[in-house]
Parts: sequence; structure tokens; C-alpha cells
Amino acid sequence: MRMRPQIVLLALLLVFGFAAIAQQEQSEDALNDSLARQLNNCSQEDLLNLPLEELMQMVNALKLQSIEELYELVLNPVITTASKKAEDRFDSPLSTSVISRAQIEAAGVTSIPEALRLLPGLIVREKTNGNYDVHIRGNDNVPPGKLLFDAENTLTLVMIDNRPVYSYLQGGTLWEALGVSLEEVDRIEVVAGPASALYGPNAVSGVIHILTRRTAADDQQFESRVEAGNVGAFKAYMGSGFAVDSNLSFRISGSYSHRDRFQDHYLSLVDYQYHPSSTLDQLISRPEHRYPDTQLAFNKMIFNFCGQYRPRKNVVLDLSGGLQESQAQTIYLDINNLALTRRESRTQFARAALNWGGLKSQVAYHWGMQDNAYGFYGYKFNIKNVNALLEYKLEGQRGVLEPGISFSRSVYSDTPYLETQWPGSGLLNGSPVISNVAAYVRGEYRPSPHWRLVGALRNDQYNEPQKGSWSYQVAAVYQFDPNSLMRAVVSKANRGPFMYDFHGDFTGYQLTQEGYTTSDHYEHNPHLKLVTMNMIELGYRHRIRKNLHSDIAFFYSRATDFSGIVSQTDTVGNTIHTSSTKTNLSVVAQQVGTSFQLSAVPSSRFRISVFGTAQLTLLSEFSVPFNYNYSNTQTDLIAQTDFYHRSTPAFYGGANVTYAPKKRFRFNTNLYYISKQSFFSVDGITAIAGKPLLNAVASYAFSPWAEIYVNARNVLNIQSIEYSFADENRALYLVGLKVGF
Amino acid sequence: MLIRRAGFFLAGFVLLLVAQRSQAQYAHYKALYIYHFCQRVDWPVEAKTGDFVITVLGKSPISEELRKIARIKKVVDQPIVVHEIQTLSALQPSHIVLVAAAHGHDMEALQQALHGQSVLLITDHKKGWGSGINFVEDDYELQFEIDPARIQRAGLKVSRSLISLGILIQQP
Repeated sequence: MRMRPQIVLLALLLVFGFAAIAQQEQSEDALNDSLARQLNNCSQEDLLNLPLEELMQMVNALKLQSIEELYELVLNPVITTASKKAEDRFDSPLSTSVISRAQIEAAGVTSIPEALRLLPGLIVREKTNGNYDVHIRGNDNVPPGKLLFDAENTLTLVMIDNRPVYSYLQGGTLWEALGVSLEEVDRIEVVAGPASALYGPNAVSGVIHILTRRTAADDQQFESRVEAGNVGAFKAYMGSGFAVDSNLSFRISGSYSHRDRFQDHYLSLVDYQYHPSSTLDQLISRPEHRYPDTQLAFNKMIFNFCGQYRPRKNVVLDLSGGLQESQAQTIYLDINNLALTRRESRTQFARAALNWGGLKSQVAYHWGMQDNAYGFYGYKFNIKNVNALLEYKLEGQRGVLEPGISFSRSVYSDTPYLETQWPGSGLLNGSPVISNVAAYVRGEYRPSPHWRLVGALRNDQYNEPQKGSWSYQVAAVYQFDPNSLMRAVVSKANRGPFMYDFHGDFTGYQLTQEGYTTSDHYEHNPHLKLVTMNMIELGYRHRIRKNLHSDIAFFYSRATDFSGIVSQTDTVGNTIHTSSTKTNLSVVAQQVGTSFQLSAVPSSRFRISVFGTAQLTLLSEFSVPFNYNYSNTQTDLIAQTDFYHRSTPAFYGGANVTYAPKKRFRFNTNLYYISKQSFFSVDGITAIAGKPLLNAVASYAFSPWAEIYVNARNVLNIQSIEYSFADENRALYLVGLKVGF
Repeated sequence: MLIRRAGFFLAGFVLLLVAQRSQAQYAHYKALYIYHFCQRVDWPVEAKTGDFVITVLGKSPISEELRKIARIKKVVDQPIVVHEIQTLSALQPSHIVLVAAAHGHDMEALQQALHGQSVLLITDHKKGWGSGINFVEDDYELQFEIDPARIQRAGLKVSRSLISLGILIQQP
């Protein structure tokens, strides 16, 4: 890709500008270090005899000197996902990255998927304004040539406070329906690489764990935010946390947000041209039933509540609940000439978790309505998901052993939304159940101060398929010295079963001279094998200086047992009958790559992080089972058995720079770049150009409790698609006010 | 849509709580600041005999730091005595009342209880809530807000040097 001259110029200005600022900041830090050392050398008597003026100067110098603590806080935060316990990120045996609430806020991030653009190993594409497709390291759209509907990411597990939130219909995550406001996020931890042994099915390419805020003992919090911008962007949030006493605390919050699309045109899959919404009736029948609001990108309302009770030092009872209502127009279902789909959902959740010494237990219930394709018959469901776990940690001097069991049950019912005169015409035609019982154990052993050995093993049994699955993870960490560490991981993970694969049962009707007759039929395959991934990873972390950390990983993965829809057609009279089922394919996806992150805190007011992932994805033993009418270009591609998979980018990464010259003023700029891709679906091959997304945000605190900010996303206003058949997203400008303490 | 947004804000403002935030790690220095405040505030003659009483309302790590100071220092000739109380009913005559971070909701009752008394009221909260001196702490500085008019209304005299060191709160 040719870099635009203005991007190069801007990048150079930023680099030199920040280098100069960092130099000045270092001088100030040296002076503060000196004052702080004086303070530390003073006795209590000395401090009492000092004039207040000098004491204040020294104390404030000490505050700045606590940058040592800041180094640890920013460069080496505490994480909990990789080892199921609190540990410094530097020590994690797995490829782990984390972004905190403060970093999210500083970067002006406007949604949870967008926050993931600040972490290495994440591929984040914006489909329409504020609606995203997210992958860890890719392996997406395998095998290529499928329906978009079938190309959703089913390999990444997303959890909120240990509660899986993926869609059991066909996998994937409905990001607009997560039910947690960005402001309620305490931090997001990402573990890249197979992690089913830790968190169960679907953690094939990794885990995205969203941890939400809690109110500490004896703390009170209040935060309110309102922001507005172009393309109808509006957001209001309010949250409050209050501690009744040192044992009992609560938190309650609500948010409302809305955005319009960047365009009012729809891409037709017939001529691949954008058409204004006013002409939709020339593309599809009754467009108002599918697109009641053509401008809408998303509209969502979220309420959350949580309470914590700590009757004893080692006992915590955590209760939480919430509800969300959302509507979004995003790329999802590519049938009937258009790929843009309106989704709606109204769901609630309740969660109870009890930690008592080494015992950890949790029960969560998630229920409500999901209409995955508004206006399409058969895609609306009432859902009920229950999951529970029980774990116990045994700790010794040199090791840890943590056995556990878990249970999950999901029910999707389309019966209330089906019409009786068309029997079997829904996707599921009933209330099928997917259940999963698992037993697992995770252990750690430290044979010497330098070595740490970690292992995890898990067995999952499902009601469908009847054959269970084993997943494992083995990691070895060798610490050369306090500042450098090498690690190796071997792991295997599998995808879980989904409704569409194991319970889908669809009959299509066609109007003929004899009236309506059955035509298409899709039947599930109870013998389908689950996608499995094996990975080997080597990593090295180094504290180059106390304020400069590096982290690099090399990975190789091999994924098999992908599946696709296989169809047969037969003509009876004037009617073409198509029968389909899903079957495993021979295709193998191999991936080799490297991921790096360099993080620095050059001064107390300046933070920078640079990260990226370069990878190659090779598909082999590929043969197309689909009998779609492919174009010549598509046919050329599918004639090959081994080729590089272009749906996954070869490079993605970025940089994040925060500078706070004064305590009241903060500036951040961050860049995310994703290289070109070629997305091959049944609808065609879409060339997606590489795209640099530069964002900038400046905030000014005009009082200790109030701050205004201006935020520009995609400030270079690069107008292009980031996902197949998606909108050409442009710049988003926001102005906001935050009040809180 | 407008009704929905308005409803959201209305619901939100009902949630508005007044809050405080504990800053335990700088309790040592806050206690030192308080000792220095005593040097730059003048109490009426009748309060210059007996013990110099500092009452801490609520749990605060500053209490222990003040006790350490009390063991080696006096305010002029008055020995320093530190009381920590949990409820307002336990309040005794004091020279200084320090309100701990979690007790902000007691402020109105406390101000009524101290009405007409020569007491320097100190709070440890991002919003002062009607105290004479309030600690303000952020990532960069430990400062204090000072309201000279309120301190003088309590019958105390505050030095210009102390006023100049604080963030001045001027009442309308």
C-alpha cells in the first residue's frame, strides 16, 4: 500500500515532537527525584520542623516520583485471566495483553471492540458505524467461499466477568448486545492462542475477557458523561458506586447510545453498486419490513447493577444483573440481494459468584429475545442460557492444583415466532437444547525459582455431538533474571456445538402452478466434528529499562475440522428441490506469525505503546463442496488446493501515545493499521484495501470533577470499507462532557 | 427519542450521590499538613488551655499518623489528643474535626452540631462540602482547598501564608 504523504508527515511530526517533550519531561523528573529523595531521608521530627511550603513541595515531588509505581501500573498491570489468579502481566505464561479503564478513556475509545484495537493480536474491522467484526489472529472465513452468514467468527470466546457471552445459534459475538457499557469496563484482558482447557469450548483462537467495575470498601463514586457528534452520534452514561460500609458495596449504571450510518446507500449483491435507500424497493420487495430505519447504525440502552458482600476477609459474594435493548444494522445475512441486516435484541442477565477461600463458584443466567435478521422469517428466537462452575484451589509451597467442574445449557426457541401454516419453515422449529458438562484441572509447579511449569486439561461432554472433546495446555516459563523471561506453550482447543450445526432443520416453500410446495431442505448433522486448533508458541519478555518493556511471541497453529454446507439439487416437475446439510471439510488452516509489543513510560506525563502482528495463513487440502454459481475469478481460486488465505490480513497493529503536559490537560493519539485483505464469499471476492485509522482526543479538566473533550476517530477521514460489502466508514467527531469523582 | 433521552437523564440524576474517596497512601503527609495547619491557625484564648483535641469522624488512616505526631509534638504548650469516633453522638469538644472520606453524608448534621464552636473543620474529599480546609489529591499533587471566610466564622484566625498555600474557596 502506498502511504499517503500527509500520514508520513504527521507520523514524523509526532515522533519528533514527542521526543522533544520527553527530553524536557526527563529533566523535570530528575529534579523531582532529588526532592523526593530528600523527603525520604527526613525523619518525622525533621518533617514536623520543616516549613509547610517546603513540605508541600517535597510531597508533590514524591507524588511524581511514584512514577516507579506508575511504571508497574502501566507496563506491568495485574491480570487474572491467563492463570485464573492475580499475577503481573510480565509473569504470564501465555500471550496476554490488557487494557485498563484509564487507558480506554485516555484513548477516546467509543466501544468495547474499538478498545481491542489498542492491543496486539486483535483484528478489528468496522462493518458499519460502531458495529464490528473481531478476531484474535484471524483464521476467519475458513473455508472461503461460504455465505457471509456462515463466516462469523466462531473461534473466539468472549466473556464478561467469567460469563460466556457468545451466540449459541451459530457462534460469534453480538457486540452490540453485550449488555455492558464501555464506562463500566474495569479492564479487558486478552489471551491469544487456544485456551479451551481454561475456559471451555470456543476459546479456540483465544479469550477476550471483559472485567467490569466494582466499588471498593469505603469508596463512593459517581460518573456522568454525555457526548454528541456527527452522523447522529449521541451517548449518555451515568454510573454510581457506593459502599454502605467496609463489607457491603453496590454499583448501578445506565447508558443510552445511538449512531447513524455514514451513508444512506445499500450495496446490492446483484450489481455490486451502492443504491440510495429511496430505491430499495427496486432491489427487494417490502423494504420497509427489513429496514424500518435505513439510517440507523445502532441504538442501544443498557442498565447494570452489581453488589458485593464481604462478610469475612476471604469471602466475597458478588451479585450482578442487567438488561439491554439494542438495534443495529450490520453485515450479517447475505441472502435476498443485500448483506446489510438489521438485528434486534432485548436480553437480561443475572449472575451470582461466591469466592470462599480457595473455593470459587458461579451461576449465571442469560435470557431474552434475539432477532438475528429483522424482517427475515425464522431468525427470531427466545433464548435461555445457564452456566455454572465450581472450582477449588489447593495451594502448596511450590505449586497449585485447581480442579473444577462446569455446566452449561442453552435453549433457543423459534416456536413463538413461526406461522403454523408453514410447518418446518423456521431454522430450528422448536426449542432445542445444547448442554455441556465438563471436568477440568489446572496445575502449576515451580521446581526452582527460575522455572514455572503450568498445565491444564479439560474434558467436555455434550448432548450433541455425543463424542466429547479433550483440550489441554502446557506451558513452561524460564526466568533468566528479574528483567527477562522466556516461555513456551503447547495447546489444543476446540469449538463448541451450535444450534445451527446440530439442531438446524429448515424447510423452504416455493410457489408453483400447483400452489406452495416444499423446495429447499436443510438438515443438521449430528456427527459433525468440532473445529480443533493446535498451537505452539514461543515468547520472550524483557524489561529493557525500568520504563521500557518489550514482549514478542512466535506462533504456529494448525486448525482442522472446519465445516461447510453441502447441497444436492433435484428437479421434480417444475420445482427444483435442494437438500443441504453441514459436513466436515478436508481443509487445513496453518498459521505462522509473530506478535510484538513495545511499551514505554518516558516520563510521568508521557506513555507510548507500539504493537503489531505479522502472519501468514496457508490453507491446504482445500476443495469446495459448495455448488454455488461462482464467478470466473472465484472458480480460479477454488481450483487450487493449497493457497495463502487472504481473508485474514498479513499485518495489523498500531500505536498509542498519551501525553498529559498539565494535570488538567491530556492528549492522546492512537493508530490502528490493518493490511489489505481479499474476502472470498459466495457473493464474490471483495478486495479490502489496507487502512490506517488515526484517532486523536484532547481533554481539559476545568474543575477537579468535570472535564470536556473533543474526540476524532479516523481523523484522516479515509473513506473505505473494512469488511466485505460493508459501509464506507468515514471520520467520526465527538464532543463530550464528563462529570464525576 | 427525546422523551427517552430526557427520561434517562432524569433517572440518572436520581442516582447522584455525594462521594468521597480514600487516599490512605498519603495519610502520613496529610497528618503532617494538619499539624502545620495548627501552627497557622489561631484559636480563641479560652481554647488555649488543656489538651488540643483532634477528633476524627469515621475510620481513617490519618488517625494513627496523628497519634504518632501527638507522641512527640504539642500545639504550642497543649498536648495533642486524638479521638476517633464513628457516630456524631460521640462528638466531644474539639479544636479540629477531621471528617474521614466515607463520612461525607454526615456533613450537614456535623455543621449543625459545631455551630457556634471554635472548631477547624477539615475534610478529605474531592468536594469540600462546607469545611474550612479540604484535602485535594490527584495523580500529581496533594493540595488543600481553604475557605478563610468559613474558618473566621468559626471564631478562628487563619494566617495569610496558609491561605496563600491553599486553593482559595471564595463564597459568593
